[in-house]
Amino acid sequence: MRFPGCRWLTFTTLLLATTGAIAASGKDAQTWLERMSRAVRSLNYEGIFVYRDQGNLESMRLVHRVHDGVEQERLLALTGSPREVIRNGERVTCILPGDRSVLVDWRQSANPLSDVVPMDVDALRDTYRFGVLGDGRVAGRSAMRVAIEPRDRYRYGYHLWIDTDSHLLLRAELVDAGGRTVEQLMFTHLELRDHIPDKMLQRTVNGEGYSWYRHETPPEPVKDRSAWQVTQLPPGFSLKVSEWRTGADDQDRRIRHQLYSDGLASVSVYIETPKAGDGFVGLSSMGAVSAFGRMVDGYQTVVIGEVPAHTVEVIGRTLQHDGSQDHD
Amino acid sequence: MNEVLHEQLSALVDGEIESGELPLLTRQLAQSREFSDQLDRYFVIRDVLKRDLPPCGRVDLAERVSAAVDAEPVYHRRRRRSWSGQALRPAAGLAIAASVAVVAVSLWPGPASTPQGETAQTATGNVAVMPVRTGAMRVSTDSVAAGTPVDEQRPQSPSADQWERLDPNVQHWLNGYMIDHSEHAGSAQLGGVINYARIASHEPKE
Repeated sequence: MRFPGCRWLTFTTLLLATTGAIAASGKDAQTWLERMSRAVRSLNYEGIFVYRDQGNLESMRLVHRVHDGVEQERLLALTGSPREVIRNGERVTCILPGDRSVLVDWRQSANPLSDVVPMDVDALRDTYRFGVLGDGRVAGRSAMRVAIEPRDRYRYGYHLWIDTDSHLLLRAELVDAGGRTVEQLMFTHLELRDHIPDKMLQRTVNGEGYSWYRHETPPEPVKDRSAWQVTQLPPGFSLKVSEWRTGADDQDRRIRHQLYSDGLASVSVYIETPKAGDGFVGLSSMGAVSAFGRMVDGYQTVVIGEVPAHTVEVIGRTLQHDGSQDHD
Repeated sequence: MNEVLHEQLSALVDGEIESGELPLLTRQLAQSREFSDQLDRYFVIRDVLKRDLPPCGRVDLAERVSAAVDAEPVYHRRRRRSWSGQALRPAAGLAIAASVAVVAVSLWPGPASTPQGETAQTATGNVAVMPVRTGAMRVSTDSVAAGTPVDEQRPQSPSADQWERLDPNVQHWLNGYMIDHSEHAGSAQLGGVINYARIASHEPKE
């Protein structure tokens, strides 16, 4: 016996089941991402990983601990000159022997994309797809593969391998809308520790004889937010921060900073009076980071972010100034 | 660096270099910083994959790195040690671990050669990189028609190594922006390691 509605019933059932599976997968992805977000900040661990971007392959050592409620970490490049990034709470110190420079900055505690807040997957669904891809294995540990896929070419996606035991990130790949990998990070060794001694977080280089650059004053909010506007923001991006910063090398150097984000990818626009010389005009990329420079009304503008070059260029080319003096 | 030289380096790390190739390779290593840097990386990555690095924070590592930094030029000293200390050790002991490392590095899917290939729809016209006498670097975009909507302009694929080709002063200046931006980067939600790896991975080229 044939039932005319049977095929439709089957189709509808399958459709609902598939939709349900995707929704469940997205929900699972959110759960894994939240677990990872908490684990990377709350656990004590050390590991070795390989980092790769275009034409660049580096091995690095990472140490992370929470001490008296303060998050501390140290990342040391094991190849080339011993570049280090050391974070102690909000204070971030970058030691760059190649430049013979040390840069001290402060994390933006008022950052609206604060990494303390778990990722809001629901708010990102217009621009990304989320899913759990299944099991994997990295550095001898079993992992769950989570995918964050971009829905267009204005942003990168992530393929993440999350340790099923500790929930730490074991491997990450940044992929473009075509599924091509632009940046990779993979732990080859990861060890959880009950205790991490102070000496493992101390910098290797004392910085003597280096040029030190410090941001001494906190950013101030911009009063006139309309003086500089981007007329063609990529879908999903909106203005999150508009502030004045001072130069790390010169406290009198005032830099206007505007931060745009889609909730995951972010792009900064820096505007300042140009220093001597021609400055930076055009496109440049380093791994997943792209930059676009342009002169507008006598100001040097630089758009930079962990997005495709296309995105910084669209923002940079449609950045407009209303002609007013930029000194509020 | 061409493919043949890459293969010779892999063979050297594997302990499978032909004896006839060694003298030429040695001369090339002595003359090319890029070449010897690459060899250095192969050895460290081999050690990473072999899990043969000294424990973090051990004094010998810190002292070794400090000594290398305090001495100028930094890279030359490190490389000489790498070359004389590691490359000339008996090859047999290296073969298995090195094979694993090099195979792993080779098989690990590399980033796309033109990661912004799809982004090309909006970009500028011909981009020429020209050194400017002031020391700054200008990337010419003069073929872009003023007023043309961004999405209608001709495609181009920006070269990913442009950053490293920039004048050191401009690089330094852009690095400041990159570090500042990384404190705002949304990917920090995935843990700071990605952002910090980007900063630490960047090494100015001479």
